[in-house]
Amino acid sequence: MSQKSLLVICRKPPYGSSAARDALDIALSGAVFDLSVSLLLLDDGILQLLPDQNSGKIGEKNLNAMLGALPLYDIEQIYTSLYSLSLHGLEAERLEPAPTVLSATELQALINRHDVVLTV
Amino acid sequence: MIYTLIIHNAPYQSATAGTALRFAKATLAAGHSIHRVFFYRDGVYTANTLTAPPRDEQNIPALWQQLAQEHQLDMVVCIAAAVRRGVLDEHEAKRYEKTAHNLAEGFELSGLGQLVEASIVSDRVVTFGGPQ
Repeated sequence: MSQKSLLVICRKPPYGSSAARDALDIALSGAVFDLSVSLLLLDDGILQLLPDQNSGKIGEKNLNAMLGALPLYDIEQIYTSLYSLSLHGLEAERLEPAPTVLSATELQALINRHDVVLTV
Repeated sequence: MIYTLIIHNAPYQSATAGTALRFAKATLAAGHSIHRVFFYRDGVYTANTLTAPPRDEQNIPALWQQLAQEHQLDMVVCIAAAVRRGVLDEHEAKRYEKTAHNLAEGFELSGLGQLVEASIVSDRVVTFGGPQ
């Protein structure tokens, strides 16, 4: 079985719904199957990478720990767009893990070069 | 071509469930095959056998069961998403010491690995239900 590349796209913030966690679960499952997995966080999805989240106060599990585990699963490729960062006034280097920032054209190329693209 | 369908939304509140069902029928009618239908997130409610819509409304779970039977479709429900939402088969009901189980016939509880495997072997993977 030839191994495909998987791109998981998430546009949702960390705790407003289960989207962030559900997207990460797919990414981790893909990695378990030895797929080449990339994660693309767009729009409010970029808020998932904010450091020092304190989700205990709303009774939710902290997403930082789950994101921190991504390199252990060989998911090193996390992407976002220039637009998503400017939307929230964020800088990539202040996020954890720091994402690779893509222009609109590069975004198209990223999606185009993956065999499977799943959006959550 | 080989298709896999992923369904993210529960029936009735969203039109997604009906759209996915019609897409599945059209795909099969056009001579393609469906490797798997994977129910994820709120989509797992599609497999609740206790669903009881008014008689003059479509019974989405029953329609999926019918289609699956006609075409030997593999309908897999994400086990983590389902158990959280109270959609359990007999085995899980015992494990969690629940007094009832409600996974509809024709559906199977399994892991996200089934989604990944389906993505690997399919030519097209189509997700129904926008991010929420």
